[in-house]
Amino acid sequence: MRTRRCGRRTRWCSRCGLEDIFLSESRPEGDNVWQGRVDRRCSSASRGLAGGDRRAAAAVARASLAAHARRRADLRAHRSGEMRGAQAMKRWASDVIVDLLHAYQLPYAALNPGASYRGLHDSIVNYGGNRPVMMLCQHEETRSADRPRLRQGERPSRWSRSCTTSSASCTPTWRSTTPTPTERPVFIIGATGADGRDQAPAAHRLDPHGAGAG
Amino acid sequence: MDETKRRPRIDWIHTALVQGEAVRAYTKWDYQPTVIDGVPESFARA
Repeated sequence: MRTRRCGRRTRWCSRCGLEDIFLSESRPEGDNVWQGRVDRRCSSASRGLAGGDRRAAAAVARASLAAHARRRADLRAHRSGEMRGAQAMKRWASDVIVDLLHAYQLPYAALNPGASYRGLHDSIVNYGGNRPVMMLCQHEETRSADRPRLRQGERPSRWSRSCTTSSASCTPTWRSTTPTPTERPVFIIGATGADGRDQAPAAHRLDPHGAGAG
Repeated sequence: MDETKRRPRIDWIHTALVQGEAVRAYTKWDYQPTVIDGVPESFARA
């Protein structure tokens, strides 16, 4: 794995201090200009994390889970009045997943937006500050085909959303990854749709279905 | 899925039973945590 710092240092989150991440040459042009406000702050324990160290990632997970447990609250998205204001203090399960995506330094998310993991999508945007960088794909096959076009020197790990309900949609992913499975492994996350409780996004709750990762 | 909380329609058409089977033949590992507390471990293993 070869990475080369681009030399530009940008503080992309005012609290977590993970500015070292995503500064490899694989960063897309103009990607370091995000200055938006993070409503739901990243875990303070992720401060200073550098590298994909598993122990550091475990520390991030513990702190993130603790923060989630303290601020666990039901989302009533269909009641917009209650949603406003209170949302900034909520700590979703999908925020924990975003913390993990950051901890493992997964720079890109090739995804075709789906309702089953809309909570995770929300957390990537509003909590994670658009990290990992999302690449919109209009079909699972597009998502897979993007993969070989990535430049040399890119971090070998990528994150891709998996199709959870159709083996036919998963097949193109497999075909594109098979030639070089060890060079650029694909980290797949899928969600399972609504959880049947309160109409809340499933990826926010992860219960009872949860997300599969492989 | 919890049958007592399962809603009609969407929870049926959008849910796979043993969904990991769809990718198990060509992934090194798969798992389906049911609560967020199981996610960090699955991330680490994946």
